[in-house]
Amino acid sequence: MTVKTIRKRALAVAAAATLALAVAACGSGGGGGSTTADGRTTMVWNMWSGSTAEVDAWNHLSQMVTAKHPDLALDFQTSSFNDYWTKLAAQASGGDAGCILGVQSYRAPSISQLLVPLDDMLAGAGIDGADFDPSIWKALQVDGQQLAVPYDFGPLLMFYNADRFREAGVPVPTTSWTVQDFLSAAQSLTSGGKYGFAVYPTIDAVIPWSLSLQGTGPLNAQGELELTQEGFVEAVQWYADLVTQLKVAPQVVATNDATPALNSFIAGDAAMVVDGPWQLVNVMDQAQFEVGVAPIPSGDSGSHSQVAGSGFGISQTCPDPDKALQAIAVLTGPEGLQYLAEQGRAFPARTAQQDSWFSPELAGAKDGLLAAIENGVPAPATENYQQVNQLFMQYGVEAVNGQQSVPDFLNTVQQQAG
Amino acid sequence: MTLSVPAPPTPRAAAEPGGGVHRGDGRAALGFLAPSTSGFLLFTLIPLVGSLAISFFAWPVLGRRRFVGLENFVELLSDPIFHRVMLNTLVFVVVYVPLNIVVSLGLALWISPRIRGRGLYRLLFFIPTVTPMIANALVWRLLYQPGGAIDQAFQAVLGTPAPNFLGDNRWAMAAVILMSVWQGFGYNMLVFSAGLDAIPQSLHEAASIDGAGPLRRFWSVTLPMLSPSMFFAMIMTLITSFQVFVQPYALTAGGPGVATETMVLHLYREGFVQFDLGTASTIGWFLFMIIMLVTALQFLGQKRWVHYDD
Repeated sequence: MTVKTIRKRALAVAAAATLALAVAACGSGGGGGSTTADGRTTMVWNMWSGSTAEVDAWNHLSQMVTAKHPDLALDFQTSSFNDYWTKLAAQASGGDAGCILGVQSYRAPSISQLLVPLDDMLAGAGIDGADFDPSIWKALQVDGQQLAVPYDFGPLLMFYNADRFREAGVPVPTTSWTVQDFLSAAQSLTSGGKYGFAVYPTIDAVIPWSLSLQGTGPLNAQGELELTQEGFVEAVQWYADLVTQLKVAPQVVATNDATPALNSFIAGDAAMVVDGPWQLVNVMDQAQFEVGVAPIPSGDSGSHSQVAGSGFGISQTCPDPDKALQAIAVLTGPEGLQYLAEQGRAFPARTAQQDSWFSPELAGAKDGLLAAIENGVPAPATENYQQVNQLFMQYGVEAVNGQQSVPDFLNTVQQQAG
Repeated sequence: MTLSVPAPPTPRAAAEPGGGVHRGDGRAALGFLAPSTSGFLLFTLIPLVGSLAISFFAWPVLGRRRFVGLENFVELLSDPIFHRVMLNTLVFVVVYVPLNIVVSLGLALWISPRIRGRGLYRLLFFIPTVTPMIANALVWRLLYQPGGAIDQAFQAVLGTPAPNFLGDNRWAMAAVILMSVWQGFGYNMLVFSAGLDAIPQSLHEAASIDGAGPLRRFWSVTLPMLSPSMFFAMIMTLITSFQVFVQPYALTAGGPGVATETMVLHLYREGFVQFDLGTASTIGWFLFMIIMLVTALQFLGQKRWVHYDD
């Protein structure tokens, strides 16, 4: 073999090795588990976030973990809320999910196979379920097993544009307002291209009304999806009538924007909208008017709203679940949640820290939020809730705009998702 | 036997400095081809074969996988929603492709004479093609939505509100197609523009001397000379329009209902919202077969209308 050939072969081997390395790097990347170097464990933490401020807050929490456990570092990886679930599924199918995963209560059943049951480990990590609001603690259980430790929760609320109410001489909502009060306010506030209310045909946005007007949700007594039950159909019809009959809300469009109704409210085009307390800080930052908060107006069945929230769980592929739980204990610990509350980022799942959320900026929301929490009911969740949500949103546009009858719409979704 | 006849001796490569095939060139060629070949294998061929295999399985992202044979194909063929999705894709292709060709050819013809500011027009018309589609979709959404610019113009001029373009199933597809034409004509315009520049001026002059008017010159000189560019543009536009995803995804999310849901959007939903990779792969294969068929037909038909110089 000549020197030239040897050099050629060496080059070929080097090229092949480089290619193999590059491919391997593509394949493993973020990695599900943890890597240990110099006795320090680094764990991937997958979580959604919607703004730079939110990312900063999570990174701050990640530093709190390292401050408390110097041998532990979190590698925070994030994407938008909708993309998070797509990415999680894709990573999980390749056995490549992060160690610590953000878990939303609605979606917990659909990813339960991915998560480690925590019940036997909680005490060891110093986490006591009694310190948390019972509704959200329970909402993160699937088949009686605790799959995540909550950090925030909240019922859906009514946000209102207090300036528009005053200008129109309409009394602002109180904690004891009724659906009749809501309708007359919406009618008074609809004029000149502006509307009293903004709807969006998501199942989450309809449920508070079906609970308050009809005392029913989208699930039957056995916990199965039953969108065609009488009370729910009537509630959805009432909701659609706000657009088609009463015309107090604008027509909706098919869009992939997650919060078009909220955006319309922030822009000042609609005087009221239903959304969660987790949006309040963003809304107050962006709105050019005074934002008020009230519970859902009470109907024949009272004033109710579903309580949902989020927490952190440990993936089945995590090599060191105990260390991951140590980190979660800090992320959801009193100091961590105190920090998130002071930032206005999350209404704390720990009862002792809740007062910190009502900083001067959010003090006005206190009565409305506490009233809503008091009457909150656990959010419905089925294994395919994400699919139900998507189909509801997709076909709901035609129903809300009056192009398809409400019973036909609900039948369609029930048949496809039931 | 003819096979045993030795081949005539080939002239030694060394005898032809600067040309011919050298011993060892094969290896060098392999070396040069290796990056693109490995890319093709890793990111095209293996996934293609993989997706064919997956299409024979009930393959949830999480949970147990099960061999189902042709069940996914049969189920899709009998699914009314998939029929609608295929019809939507077909409507998009049938309306979008001719519109795109007409608009891009028209504008290319308009700026083809040596008019003042020709480069600027080219640049302006090309901008939408290189602007991120999501940004375009956001702007078009603002134009289309109730209370948006189009609606306001309707109110001012006609005194009635405009249709709810993105919320009305009779208008949504038209809205998606219009935005797509605006977004996509720039690329073909450049192709046509380059093709027009390559037509020798002498041909037009000769035709003029023979008494051909502008219309006749267009039909008998410009179009035949431009036919290779048009063939290329048609093939590429047809393939990309069968694969349309971003416009309906960003503008209407496939709605209202399934009025603007196309095959790739449906594939995405089945795979990554409903986590059914088996069905998603099957849709991919349906699409692959349709595109192969249509492209093959175009190549077969090109002899009738494409004129090459040779």
